[in-house]
Amino acid sequence: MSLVLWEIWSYLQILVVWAAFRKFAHRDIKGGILAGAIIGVCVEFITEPFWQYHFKITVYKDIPLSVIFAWGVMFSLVIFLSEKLYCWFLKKSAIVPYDKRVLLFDVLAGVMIGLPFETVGIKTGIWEYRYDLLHWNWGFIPFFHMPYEALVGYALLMVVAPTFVRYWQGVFAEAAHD
Amino acid sequence: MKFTLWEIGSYLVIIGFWAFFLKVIKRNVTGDILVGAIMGFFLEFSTEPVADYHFKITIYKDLPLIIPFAWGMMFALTTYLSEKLYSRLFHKTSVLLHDKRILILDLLIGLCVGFPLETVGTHAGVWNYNATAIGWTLGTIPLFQMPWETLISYALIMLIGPTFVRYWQAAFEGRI
Repeated sequence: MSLVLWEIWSYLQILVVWAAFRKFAHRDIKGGILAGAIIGVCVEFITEPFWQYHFKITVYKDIPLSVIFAWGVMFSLVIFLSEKLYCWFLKKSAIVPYDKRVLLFDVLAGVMIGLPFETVGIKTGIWEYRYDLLHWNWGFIPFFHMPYEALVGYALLMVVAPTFVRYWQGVFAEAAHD
Repeated sequence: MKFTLWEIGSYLVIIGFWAFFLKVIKRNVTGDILVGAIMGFFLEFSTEPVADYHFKITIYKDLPLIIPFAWGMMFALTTYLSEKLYSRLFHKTSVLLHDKRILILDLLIGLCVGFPLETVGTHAGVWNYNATAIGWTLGTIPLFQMPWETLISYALIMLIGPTFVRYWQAAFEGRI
C-alpha cells in the first residue's frame, strides 16, 4: 500500500515542483523537466539491470514512467541550485558562458539534491540495488548508509547532464508550448 | 599476446587520430577528446558490470585507461562529422545555437561511428558482455550479431554526449 502512495506521489511531485517554481521562483521549468527526462531515459536504459523498481506503471521492464520524469525534476532543481550557488560564491549575477567552474557547482548541487533523493528511494523500498551484479565494495557513507559508488556515480552524472539540460531547456519549453 | 597488441594499438589509434585531425583536417581535437573522456568515464563507471575487459592498464576494476579516451575519440569524430553533415544539409557555415536538428544528426552519425567500433571490439574479444547475467533479452542484430540493447544504448548516448562535448571542448583547450 505504501508503495502505491509513493507512486502516486511520484507523479504529483512533478506538478508540485513545476507549480512551486512558477509561483515562487517565477521560472517555467517544463523545458528543464523534458530535457532532463531524455537524460533519464538514457541513464535508466543503460543501467536497467542494476536496480529493481517496485512501481506499477512501467515503460521498459521494471523502469517506472515517473522515474524518467523524476530525473527531469531533479535536473531542474540541480541547475537552479547550482546557478544560485555559482552566483553567490563567485559574486556574479548570472553564469558566465563556458565558465568551467559551473561544472563544480553542478556536481555540488547534484550531490546535495540527488543523494537525499536516492537515499529516500532506497530506504522506502521504491527500488533496490542488485548487489549480486554490481559487486560494490567501497563501503557505506556515514549517516546516509549509502554505497560510496552511488555517490561517485551521481557526481559523474552531474558533471555531464546539467550542461545538456541547461543548453536545451529553452528549446524544449518552446516545443512544449507549441 | 593478442590483447597486448590490441592494447598498444588502441593507444596508437588515438594518438594517430589526434595527429591526423591536427595535420590534415587542421582541427585541434584535444578538447573534444578530453571532454568526451569525461563522458566516457561516467558511462563506463555506471555500466561497469555490463562488460569484462581484457586489457592490462586499468583504472577501476577491469576498466582500461584507454577506454574513456576511446569514447573521447568517438565523440570528437561524431561531433565533427555531424557538424559537417549539418552544414551540408542545411547550407550553414556552422551549427546554429539551439537548433534541435543537430540532435538527430548527432544520433545518426554517432551510431554510424560508434556502433561499428563497438562491434569490432566485441568480436575481437577486447571485451565481452555479461549478457545473460544482466538479462539482455531483445535478441541480436542481424549481420552485426550484436545485442539490440547496445544499439539502443548508443542511440541514447549519442543524443546526449555530443552536446556536452561541443559545449565544453573549446573551454578545455583554453580557447575560451
